[in-house]
Amino acid sequence: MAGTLKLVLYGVLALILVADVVIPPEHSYFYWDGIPGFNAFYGFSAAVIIIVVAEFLAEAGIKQDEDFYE
Amino acid sequence: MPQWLHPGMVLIIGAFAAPFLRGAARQIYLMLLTIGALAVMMGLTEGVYGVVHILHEEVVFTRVDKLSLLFGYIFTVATLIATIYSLNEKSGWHHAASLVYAGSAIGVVFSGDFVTLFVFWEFMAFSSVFLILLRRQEDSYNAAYRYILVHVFGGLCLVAGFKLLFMETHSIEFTKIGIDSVGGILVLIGFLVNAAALPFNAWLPDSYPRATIGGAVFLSAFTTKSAVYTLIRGFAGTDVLIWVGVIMAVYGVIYAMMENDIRRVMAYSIISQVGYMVAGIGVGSAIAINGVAAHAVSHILYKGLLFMATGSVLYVTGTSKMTELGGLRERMPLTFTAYMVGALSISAVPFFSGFVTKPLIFDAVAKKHLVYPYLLLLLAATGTFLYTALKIPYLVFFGEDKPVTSKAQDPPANMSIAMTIGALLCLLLGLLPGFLYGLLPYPMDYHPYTADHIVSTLSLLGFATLGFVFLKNRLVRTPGINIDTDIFYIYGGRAFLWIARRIFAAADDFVSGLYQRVFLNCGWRVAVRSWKFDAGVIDGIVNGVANFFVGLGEALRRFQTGRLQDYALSILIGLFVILNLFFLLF
Repeated sequence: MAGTLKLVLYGVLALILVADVVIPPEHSYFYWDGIPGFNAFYGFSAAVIIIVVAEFLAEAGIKQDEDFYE
Repeated sequence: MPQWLHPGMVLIIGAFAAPFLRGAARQIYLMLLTIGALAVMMGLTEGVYGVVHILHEEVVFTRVDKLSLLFGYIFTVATLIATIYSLNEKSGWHHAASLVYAGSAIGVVFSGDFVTLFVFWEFMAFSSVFLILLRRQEDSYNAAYRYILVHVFGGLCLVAGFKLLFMETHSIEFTKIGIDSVGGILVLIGFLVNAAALPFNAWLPDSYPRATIGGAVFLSAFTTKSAVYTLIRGFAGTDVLIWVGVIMAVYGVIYAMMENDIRRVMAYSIISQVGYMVAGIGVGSAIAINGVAAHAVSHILYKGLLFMATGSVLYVTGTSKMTELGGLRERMPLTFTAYMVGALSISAVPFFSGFVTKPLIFDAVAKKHLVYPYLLLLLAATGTFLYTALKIPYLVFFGEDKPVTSKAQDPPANMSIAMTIGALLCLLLGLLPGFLYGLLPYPMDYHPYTADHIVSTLSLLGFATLGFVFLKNRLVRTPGINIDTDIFYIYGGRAFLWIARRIFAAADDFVSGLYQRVFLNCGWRVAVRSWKFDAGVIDGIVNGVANFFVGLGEALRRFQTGRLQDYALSILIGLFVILNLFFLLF
């Protein structure tokens, strides 16, 4: 079940990538606006960064027992 | 519809009947009242009403233009939905507090001058605190106490700033302020306290998750969004707000990712979303302000929906902790669906409301070529998707069954109906953005459904999902609380009390005596009224009228060594009142 779901996800992501390459960008406000796959790369990196940073901060002492202030 | 009828006043005056009605009569009354307020709102047209001259100053009770109309519409709609959701709330005082709170927020929106604004602003703070107190748990009493102190601080900044501005300009008209003067900066701080900007952010995740289930839905809509409204009015185009907003957006996301309580996740999420709006206000261009106003509207809808869904989970299972929840999807299908609509809306997935409003702010930031703010806001947008649309569903609605899972079922009819309305509105906004675009303060030429926008959104979120799948075992999933900026005032408060025990106790009599004298000797009615209200709520003049005053007193006693707490508080309130009087009158 989980395996099938992953395959579906990979398939959809592949389609999205193809669409991203094919469809021309609407604007060019920034230098990355013309790079195909930029959003994909950024989305993946952002997810990894956020999960790792949250994990790091929680372990570094931001997260405390619920009775911390008592 | 007569133009002098103010939708906020309809709610505030109507609220006082709520505690005296029971059962079905009360429910019908609440529905008629909130629908009535909406009808009055629909009848308002642009213009200035309720102008009163007091001491040579023009007090503008009701200023209606496109911006205040839009916020008025969404506030009255939010009031209606939240009232339906809390119809089964048993406490009549809860209904009274929530309606006064909603009405005051609407009052803030239509205020044309500082005095009206300030009065409604204080009403908002002192009515909303009951939505926290009425949870009737010890941690709620303590959080409510901290909540009111923070808002007293914010109110003080505001009134001091207004006074300084008045000395400069000799006008009390609420218009563009800017930060060229000390007064402007103080007003900005006052507004930012309510917007939960860093470092004044901690009151929000401290108090909202400890509010009542229905109360949190009200709270999620009004305080921060009325602050967004006042920031648009006073500080559009103030550069520093870009970074204030960006920091809020990123900070809210990181803290939400670490949080275990789903309602506190939603609270951090408010800070993050309001961050986009504050950043947009900093940009200040026409499209930015349109974006902020539009995003405030969709935010009120989807955040209310998310608070309703997470509140329903708490209502039926008795817990809102992710570590104690799991496998709710099949037992709470409607709640799950409503939650997912909210989650996809906040994540700006195509066909949901966020998709047609959030990109306006991104567009405005991009047009100014602000590279780092843009990338950081994009990072925050990805994070929002991670914790609302992936992490919570994965752990709470899917995930393994926990002991409470067997208790789970969809909540009572009124709560389910409110969620359904909220979900439908999120979808409607996403599918037919033209209606909202037509109500925005500036003319609009924006088309969200382009191939490029859809594909870039899908690749951002799609590949974020991939990152989530790879790292899902490294998510923070432990119980506990996050250390936030409130650590300073919690420890600071303890230090203060320690000092108070030694030095300030004697000063209390002096201070209270002084403000009594000041109060007795001055005849300005507005000030007297606001004093009575402030002092009435905090000092317990109306002791015994309702249980929650007793509850507050108990909370105060528990907090430290009994009466010293009251001394410290009355010193603060005394200072507040004296400074209020000073700034308003002299």
